[in-house]
Amino acid sequence: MKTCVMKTEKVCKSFVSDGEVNNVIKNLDVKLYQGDFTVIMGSSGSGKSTLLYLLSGMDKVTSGKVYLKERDITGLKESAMADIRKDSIGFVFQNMNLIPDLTLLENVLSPSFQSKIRKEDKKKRAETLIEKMELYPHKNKFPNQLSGGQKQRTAICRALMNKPEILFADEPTGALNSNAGKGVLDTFTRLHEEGQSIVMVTHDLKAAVRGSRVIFLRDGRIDGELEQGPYRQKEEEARERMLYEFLKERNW
Amino acid sequence: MMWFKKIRKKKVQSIFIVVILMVCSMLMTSSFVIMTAGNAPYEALTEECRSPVLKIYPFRSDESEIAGQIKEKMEKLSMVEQVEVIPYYYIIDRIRINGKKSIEGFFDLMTLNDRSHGSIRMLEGSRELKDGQCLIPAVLSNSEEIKVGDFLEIGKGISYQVAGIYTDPYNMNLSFDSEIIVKENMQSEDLKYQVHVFAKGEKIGDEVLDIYREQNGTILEGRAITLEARIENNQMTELILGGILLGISVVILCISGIMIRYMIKSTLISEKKTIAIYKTLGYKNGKIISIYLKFYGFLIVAGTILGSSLSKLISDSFTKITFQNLGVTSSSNIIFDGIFCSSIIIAYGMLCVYLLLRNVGKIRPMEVFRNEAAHTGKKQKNVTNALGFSPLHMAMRMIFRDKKYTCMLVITCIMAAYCVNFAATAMVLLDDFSEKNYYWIGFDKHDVSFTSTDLKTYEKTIEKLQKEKEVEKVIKTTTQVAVSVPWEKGMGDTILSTMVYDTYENLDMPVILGRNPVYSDEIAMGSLMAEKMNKQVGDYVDIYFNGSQKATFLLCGIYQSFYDMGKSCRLLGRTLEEQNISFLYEGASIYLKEGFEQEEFLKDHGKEYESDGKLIDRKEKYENILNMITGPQMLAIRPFMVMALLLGGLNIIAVVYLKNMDNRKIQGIYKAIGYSSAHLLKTNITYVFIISLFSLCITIPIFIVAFPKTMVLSLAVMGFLEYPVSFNVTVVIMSNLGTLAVYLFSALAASKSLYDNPISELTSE
Repeated sequence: MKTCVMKTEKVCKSFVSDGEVNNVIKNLDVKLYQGDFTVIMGSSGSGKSTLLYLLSGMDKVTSGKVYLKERDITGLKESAMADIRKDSIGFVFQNMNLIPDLTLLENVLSPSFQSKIRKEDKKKRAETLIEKMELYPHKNKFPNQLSGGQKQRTAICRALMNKPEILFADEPTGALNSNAGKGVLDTFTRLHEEGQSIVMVTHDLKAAVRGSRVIFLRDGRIDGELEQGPYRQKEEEARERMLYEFLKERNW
Repeated sequence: MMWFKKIRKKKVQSIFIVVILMVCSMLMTSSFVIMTAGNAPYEALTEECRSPVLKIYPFRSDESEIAGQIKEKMEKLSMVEQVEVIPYYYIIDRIRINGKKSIEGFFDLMTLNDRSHGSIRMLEGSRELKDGQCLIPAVLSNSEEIKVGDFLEIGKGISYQVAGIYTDPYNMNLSFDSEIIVKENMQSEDLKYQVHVFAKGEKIGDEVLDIYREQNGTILEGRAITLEARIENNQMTELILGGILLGISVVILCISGIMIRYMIKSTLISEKKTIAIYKTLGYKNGKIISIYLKFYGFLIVAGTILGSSLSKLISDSFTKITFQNLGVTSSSNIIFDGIFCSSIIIAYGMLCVYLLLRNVGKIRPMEVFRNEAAHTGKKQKNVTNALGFSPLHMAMRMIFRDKKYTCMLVITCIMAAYCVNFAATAMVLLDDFSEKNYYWIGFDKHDVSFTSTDLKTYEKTIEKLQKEKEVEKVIKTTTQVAVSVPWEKGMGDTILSTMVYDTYENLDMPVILGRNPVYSDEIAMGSLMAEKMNKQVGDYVDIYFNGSQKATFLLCGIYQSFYDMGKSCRLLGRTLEEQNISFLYEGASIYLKEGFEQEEFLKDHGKEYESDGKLIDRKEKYENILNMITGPQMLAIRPFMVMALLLGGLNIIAVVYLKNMDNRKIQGIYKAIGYSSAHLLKTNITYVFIISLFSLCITIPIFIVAFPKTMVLSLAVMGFLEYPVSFNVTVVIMSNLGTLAVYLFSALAASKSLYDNPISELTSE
């Protein structure tokens, strides 16, 4: 029996532009489970990134509820929401969004600012993460001195720094070349194997096969789900075919 | 019209630039207007009044005879048209207005003379006087609210009714002798004589004086006041005030220059990508620069012209009194000064803008597109990691990793803080001027001053005063003796006002070099005159008594003084006796025993001595002279302080606000990883706090060293070599805490945008 770590109830998100209301997410109910690697797919404008931002508390819902481990986080104040982002959520952006004034090590350490862990332990954890991502020789470099893949791996380290309940990733390979993208996906796979809950938005088939579960969005609603099970490299081709069929059925 | 759209897009920056340049332009234009506004009306008044080019006050002995001799010699000069000898009485008593309020000052009761007073500008009433009537100058009427029909009681029951109010170039400032004109002088005793000299054509007073001296063995047996010197002195107040405002505006312009540079730099960084896109579309550097040049040019021109137009608000409030005294109803004309100042500010502003915009050429599109994440585009060196993320740690990191920006903010804070410290301390010192009037005017620090109104009873009165139980000692003094120094062509007036004391021993009467006279062959001189004569302590100086009796004295001391614009000397009474100079003491410095207060003494004895003279608190002595110096400064300092603080605050708001705008994405990232807006706000506040504190720590010692030097420089015209400042610690602390509070409040106001939600902007380009 899977444990639900996050769920939504009739969540809606609308944007008003030039007096016109655009409903991007419409009465959406979704559950995210402990240890799952959930991939959200959909065509452009289907609302996948918007859903990711609502789930991660980066944006506010227009109506409906979002629960993190049974706790309603919909109407929380800014500071309480900041605590949740800090303690329970990790986020990896498509364009990395590293802080340009901070070194690699400082970027990784930056979410731990209010943590009660001793400074030395924090540093140790950050260095362990950096080492795992094969970034140790670059720890004193600034973001503009790193390659795209290195930046994205730094962003992953930063997202993992506070041991989040869920790691969100918005098109993490979108800005990378295939080689660097593969490295990042391998990292996600490894993290999933270690038990990390991951929610990733992508439109890349190669990235999507890494997930254990695929949710397909269309016009702000869930149009279908596919359970793929944990990723095995030797099953990659078969998983790709299955996913391809799943998407084809949805005219993607 | 691409440049015009930028105004809408960059509303806040546009408002900042316009407001700051408006303030600069307002101050600079008004300072020039204040300094020059009087020129044309004074010229018109001089022409209308056909005033004498020269007024001579003959030396004390046999005044009527000397006046006659001077008249005779003057009339022989080809450039002299007419000479009039006019009797007057120097009013020693306080003047009582309508039997109530009494005033003190330098007033001559002048007998009406057709030639001298025939063309004075009448502002009210008639020039035709009856017995018992008088005409008063507008400056007296305006300052004491005396109207036509009011009665002026001038000692011993002699009273005149005001029949008219007039103005002329010699009677524009109460710091100098002002004339109350009467038909017949009721004071038959102690009458003195003035010689009024009218020149032919365009000849001025100094030219007449030079020729007179050349033809009469350099001797002039009297004190001469030329029309041009009097007009210059009349405008001294406006010049001091205008000079202060000009200084302020230059400082503010410098601060603004730094700030505007930052704003433009910030725009160029934030619009790097836009510029790169323009370039890929084929726009040439010149075209792109012209877009920004037009945008900033428009703001600079708009702010400057708006400021110049509004400068009338400041200049009119300061020149109003002068115009009232001149009897002119129109206000100051700002057009010429406005165009001049606007041109300077616009040229400076455009130069700042152009020098920065030249960097547009360095922006290479592919570098910008490839390197979007790089904040500055500059290659960064590896640094030691700073692992803390508290507001303090983050602020310190900001300070050390963006040194250029930090330096700019420090300079801005220092300049504004210096202005505030300057204003606050100057205000305290000016407030204290009356307490320390003995130092500034150059007399001794006594408790109560006595001025005799009946010289026959003087000695008896002094004896009586000495016997009073409250009195410790009485020092006899007089300022009625004039001596002169050897004349050289172009030197102008050679007369020195003399402070004669029967002793200088054990008196608190400051000198800056040497000491006061102890022996009868010694003299102490004001620094201005010593410098003019190139004499130092230990040198011998030649002095003339009554214009012709030469004596040589040892220069034993040099002091500084506002008295008679720095042209004065100190002699012992017995020096005059040994030189057979007839003189009478008419004043006295009274020292009270410990435990007795001036107020009590004056209350108890004021009435008792009324028939012999007047007793006044030492702090009220020479009030008019001090008012001339402190008045304009007091007027200018408050707005100066407000402007400096406003501008300092405005700078912080602009800089912090623009930095927040530039760092919007970074703030979004911080928020995305769990930082709250409050944490980022605390970081901003801590950052400004550290910079402000550091700036204040630098400013205060610089200020303490530089302030007295600045003041000496501003008083150099009167020969000041020192400006003793005892800094009031509470005032220094309070003004700096106030400055700090304004800086922090500004940072707080500028950080409002931190509470926006820029996280959603992280995905959008």
